[in-house]
Amino acid sequence: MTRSVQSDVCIIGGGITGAMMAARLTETTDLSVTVVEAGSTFFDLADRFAHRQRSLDYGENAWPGDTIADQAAEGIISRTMALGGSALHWGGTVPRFSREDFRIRSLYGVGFDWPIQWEDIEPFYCEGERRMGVAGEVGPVGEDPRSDPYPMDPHPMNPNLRAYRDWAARAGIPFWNTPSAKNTRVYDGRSICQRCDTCTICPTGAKYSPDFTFQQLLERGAIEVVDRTLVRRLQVDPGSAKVVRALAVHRDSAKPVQFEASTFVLAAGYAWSSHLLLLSAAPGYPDGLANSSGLLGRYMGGHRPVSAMIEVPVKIYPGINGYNTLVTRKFMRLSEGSPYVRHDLRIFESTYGRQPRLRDDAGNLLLGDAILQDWRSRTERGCARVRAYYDVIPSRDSRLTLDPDRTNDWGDPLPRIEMLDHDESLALRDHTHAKIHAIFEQLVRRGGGRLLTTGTGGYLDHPCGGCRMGEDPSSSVVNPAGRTWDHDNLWIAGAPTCVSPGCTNGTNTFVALTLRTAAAIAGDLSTAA
Amino acid sequence: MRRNKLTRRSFVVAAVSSATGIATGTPQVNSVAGPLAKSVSVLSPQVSPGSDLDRELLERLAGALLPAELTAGERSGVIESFLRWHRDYHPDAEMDAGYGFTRLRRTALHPALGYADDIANLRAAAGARFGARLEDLDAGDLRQLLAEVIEQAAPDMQRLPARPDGTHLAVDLLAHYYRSSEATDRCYGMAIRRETCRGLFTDVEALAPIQPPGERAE
Ligand SMILES: Cc1cc2nc3c(=O)[nH]c(=O)nc-3n(C[C@H](O)[C@H](O)[C@H](O)COP(=O)(O)OP(=O)(O)OC[C@H]3O[C@@H](n4cnc5c(N)ncnc54)[C@H](O)[C@@H]3O)c2cc1C
Repeated sequence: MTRSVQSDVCIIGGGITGAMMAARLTETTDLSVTVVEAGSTFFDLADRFAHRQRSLDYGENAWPGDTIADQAAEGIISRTMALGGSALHWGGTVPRFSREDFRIRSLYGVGFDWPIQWEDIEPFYCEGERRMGVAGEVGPVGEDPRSDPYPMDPHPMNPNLRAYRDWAARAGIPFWNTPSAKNTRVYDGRSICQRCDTCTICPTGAKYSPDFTFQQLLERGAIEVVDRTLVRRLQVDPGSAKVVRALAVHRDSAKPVQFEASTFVLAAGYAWSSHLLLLSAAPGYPDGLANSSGLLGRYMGGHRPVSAMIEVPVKIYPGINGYNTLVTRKFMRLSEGSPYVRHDLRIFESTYGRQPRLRDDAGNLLLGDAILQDWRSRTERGCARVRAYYDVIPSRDSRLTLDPDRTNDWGDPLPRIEMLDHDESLALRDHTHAKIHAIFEQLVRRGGGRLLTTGTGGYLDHPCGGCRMGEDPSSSVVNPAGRTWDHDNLWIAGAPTCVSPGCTNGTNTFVALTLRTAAAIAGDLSTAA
Repeated sequence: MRRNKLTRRSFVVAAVSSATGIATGTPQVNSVAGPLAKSVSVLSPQVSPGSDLDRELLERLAGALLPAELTAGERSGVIESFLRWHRDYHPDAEMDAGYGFTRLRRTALHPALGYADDIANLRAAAGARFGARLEDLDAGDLRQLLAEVIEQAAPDMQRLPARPDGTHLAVDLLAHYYRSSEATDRCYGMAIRRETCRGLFTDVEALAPIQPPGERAE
């Protein structure tokens, strides 16, 4: 017999967007909420010191069991599927998009404008930052506007970061503390950060991760969570075009489970959201649900990293707290008339070229004191990793499709993701890289030091898109609030709805978009924050 | 007394032919590429490989491999933690799937599986090269012997591996020490205390220097 779970709202996916959606809906409405998560639940804070230690000592997974072997998408950049999603592992770096990100076509004549403006989303940034608990420092006025102060003081700047900041200042580039979802005081029942420097597994709970929200909601009896249950199809009532149920399978018993609700929210992240809609093709919807525009799974994007390793003319002591970094938003704004290049810039501690080694440059074997002497001689000057994320305009053909050759254990085709730059970005690529390299050189010329290497990342980070929002049903999948044009009780949360990827870490924006969608579901977009 | 220099080729021949003192009729490790693909000596399912390593011999090797400024107590501490590391190693454990380009991976076979061979080869080479027992070599000869062994086992290795990986007992011991937080502190002369949960406001102004070698208690 099929197990049937009923609620007012069924949220598919228990990542950070699912958590934010559940939290806001349960606080602002009387709706009953169920969260379906394909992966397992880890409410195991007490074990995290031990997991962390094994990960440090042996390279073992600090989140054992957080992947699902047969859910392997070609081109996906994180395998985590568990209650909490990728943000169990995340670094907690939470910059916002800038005003310009939402209207680059109007301002600079390239890419796409969003149907919403930065002002529409700003209150939800504030709300998300409060919910997660963000510690931050306001940058120079104009480059870092915000209507509410950061919920917490910034992390103290350690000697390495001060040295990097002063070095970059000599090149005329102001850097400040990167905002992060890590407590600088006891916050929301979670500990203060102890600077364990292993943020992908925070053993103290000082880093926000969505498992805490789910745990709180469950303790309050506010939601039901059904984990280890994979949704395989959404079913639509042919008359009303409403989604009536989500058909799932419990991964342990292989028994079918169905979820019935008056509202469905797809919070399955940038890959699995489009994937599920494509899988749900049915008579009347041969190309998948919510796809009357033909754009489902298209315009997928992310920002491309360009980095440099730079020897700095000061001693650096790597290992104090490498997850604490510096950021500047100076290059997210364009000077008038220059070709379109926008990027953030971060400075990270680095041990590049400064690790103990077995042979010297000439290939001579080093043993005993020689290793230590060689190592010391290479650490007199430190190294900085300087990285830009630049905005890549997504091509229409940058897309997720169903892979005809690969299926999961249930026989469903898996996603294949192929990211492509828009022609406008392709035309700008050389110029973009040259501009960023010129900044690396400026840092060296004016700050001192030596450029050691530069490189360009092989994948686009903080991926998004696939269910882009818009004002016109023929050129978008969801409306500006995240409701699908084709099914008025089906909403998409966060990353998939982005029009463009911006040029800085995306999760704060995915969270803000989700909270805005939650407000819309509650029937009042003006209930912001 | 000057001893004959052992060429790489004669070393290998000598070592292999003398390594018959220990059991070698043991399973071949097939599925693992890299260092652990070499033949293994003792494979006991009950006892963790490496747990029967001769502590005294390890201390001698450490004396030749690790910096002289380590006190005897500190060297013992390194051996202690090296043995503990091996005792707690789990082969075939789930590893992190990575970010960007992902892959489900598992930990390799136990790195210590080849150590018995490594030690047998070292003993054989000590005999062939210096006409002496490994235990009786002075630090200089031992270091020379180890250098030759490492040249054989890791001819192209420049960076030490992040953790022991079975390349060779000597390389693994080096990796275990030099990749540690303690070694980092010694290199910099400062209590950086990498990966130590330290409190948010500790070390914010400046790091504390570590005691220089002469001033550390035995
Ligand atoms: C190591 C690492 C570091 C990172 N650091 C940062 C950072 O510092 N800053 C930043 O901005 N971002 C960072 N990110 C990215 C960030 O974690 C993600 O952008 C964010 O977590 C995405 O959240 P989401 O809710 O959109 O999707 P997800 O986290 O992917 O959650 C979706 C959930 O839905 C579930 N699901 C999917 N399909 C189904 C289905 N059919 N049925 C049931 N359940 C389903 C999945 O199992 C998953 O748990 C990092 C990511 C990683 C892996």
